[in-house]
Amino acid sequence: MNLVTETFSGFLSLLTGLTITIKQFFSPTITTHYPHQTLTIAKKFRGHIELKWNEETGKPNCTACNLCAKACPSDCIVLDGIKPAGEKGKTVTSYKLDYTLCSLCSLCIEACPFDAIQHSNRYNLASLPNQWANMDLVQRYKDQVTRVGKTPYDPYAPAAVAAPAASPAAEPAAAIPSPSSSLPAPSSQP
Amino acid sequence: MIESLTHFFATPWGVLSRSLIYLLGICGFVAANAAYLVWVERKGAGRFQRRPGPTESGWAGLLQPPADGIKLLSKQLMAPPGSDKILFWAAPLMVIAPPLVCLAAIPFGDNVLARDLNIGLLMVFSFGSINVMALMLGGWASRNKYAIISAARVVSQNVAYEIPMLLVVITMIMVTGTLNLQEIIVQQGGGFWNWNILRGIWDFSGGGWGHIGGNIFAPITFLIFYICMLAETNRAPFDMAEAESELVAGAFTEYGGMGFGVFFMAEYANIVVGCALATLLFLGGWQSGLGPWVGTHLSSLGIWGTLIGVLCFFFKMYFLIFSVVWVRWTFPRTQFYGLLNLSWKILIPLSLLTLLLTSVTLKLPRLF
Repeated sequence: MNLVTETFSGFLSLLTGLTITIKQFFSPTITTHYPHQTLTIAKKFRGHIELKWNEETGKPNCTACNLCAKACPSDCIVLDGIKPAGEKGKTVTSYKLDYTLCSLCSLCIEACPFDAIQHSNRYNLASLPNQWANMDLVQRYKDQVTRVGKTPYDPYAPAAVAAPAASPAAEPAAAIPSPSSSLPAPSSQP
Repeated sequence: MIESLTHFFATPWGVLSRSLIYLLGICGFVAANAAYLVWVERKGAGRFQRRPGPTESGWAGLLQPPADGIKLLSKQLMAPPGSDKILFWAAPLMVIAPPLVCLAAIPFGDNVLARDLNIGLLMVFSFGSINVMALMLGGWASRNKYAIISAARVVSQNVAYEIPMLLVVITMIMVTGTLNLQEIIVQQGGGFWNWNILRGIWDFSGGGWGHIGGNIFAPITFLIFYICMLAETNRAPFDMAEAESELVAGAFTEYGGMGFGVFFMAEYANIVVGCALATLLFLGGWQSGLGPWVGTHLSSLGIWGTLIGVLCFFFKMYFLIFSVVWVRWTFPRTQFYGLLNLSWKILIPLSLLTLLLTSVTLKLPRLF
């Protein structure tokens, strides 16, 4: 008798399972079709670091003080800067990141006294070998500034030419997105 | 036109061309089914898991099966060293040939039938059981421990499930009184309550309960048949032959390229044969089941009636095939002794009981 009731209740449970799956079958799909659709990446996503810039002047915050490079436990930051003509402080001219060594520990960001670096939200960095071993973050900064319609800051330019970047009369400040949110779909990036 | 065609098919050349047409038709039918049931399976798996399934190649991934086929065909065929070469390559042929032969006896419609055999049902089952031997030979000949374990499993599983399967078929033969598949379908004409699965329960045309000539246990019989069909075709949750997570690919481990592809095609061809059998034994084959409402018999409508019949048959058969996919993506694989327990402790006693009770219900009315 036990076998009979067990068989019967077991069969009913199978039917329950089948009704559950057929309901899922007729429900809409819940996946993102990755290359065609992408999810919005959260702002707190910790991608590789990138240079922040002053949203009004378009000038990088970085003063090439090397504190980030000293704070880095993996020695993956190499940067250099000059003192542009007519300016008080130094500014960054090259910022190379060996992303193959970076462990995304955020120590560089914490060490920075000028709030000059932040995590980007790039997540799809598949590449040929060594493409990310020598990331040029200054070039990335220039691309980002160009993308929002501004002239990248040129530390080598004479002081008179460098100044106009500080007065973007045509651009209302509110329309300028922040560096991290101004990124287009990450797949289109180099 | 139809008259001249029937006249032509009576001549010797007509007989030959008719055989050729059916040969090509059946091969094409099996190939198309094998290819596109894989697509159905993948799409179904996707939908059951709330994802879209193949989408990239062709519209809704419809070019995926040809792409897979071209990939498999372009691969090198290799037999592992130390394997029994003859048996190793005989196994894929032996596994695909029986379903092709079985389809020759299966009536797709009123006149759409390659060979009207008096013992069609017996032929389908005798050829259907070759499948086991092919899997066993393939597993044994490939000299691989996973394949051998799988071969042993296939044999014990198929022996266990052939018994209840044949018992329920005997039950149905007692009701139908014939092994001719076309005749079995013709008997189920009229309303859908004349289909074998419902025939014994209620007769809407005035017979009421326990309509004589039917089998009141037919729903249970159908269920046993369906479960055995899943087990015989090595489908989940009984896919012991190809238990990916335990046995790599089971008996097919050492097969590459189209050798593996043929096993894969044979699995779907066997599902088609199994579902076609279930359709014509229990669900009225090409009968529409709307006889009393339509008021005419399908065979009186000529070519259009045949076409509607074929569509009815395909509708039922593909619904069963869909249910096979549905079951696969609902239940996890059973354990092996659970599988054997189900057969020996539940299905065989149950099918024997229905056999006994059916014979009683068939004979009792005649005593009074």
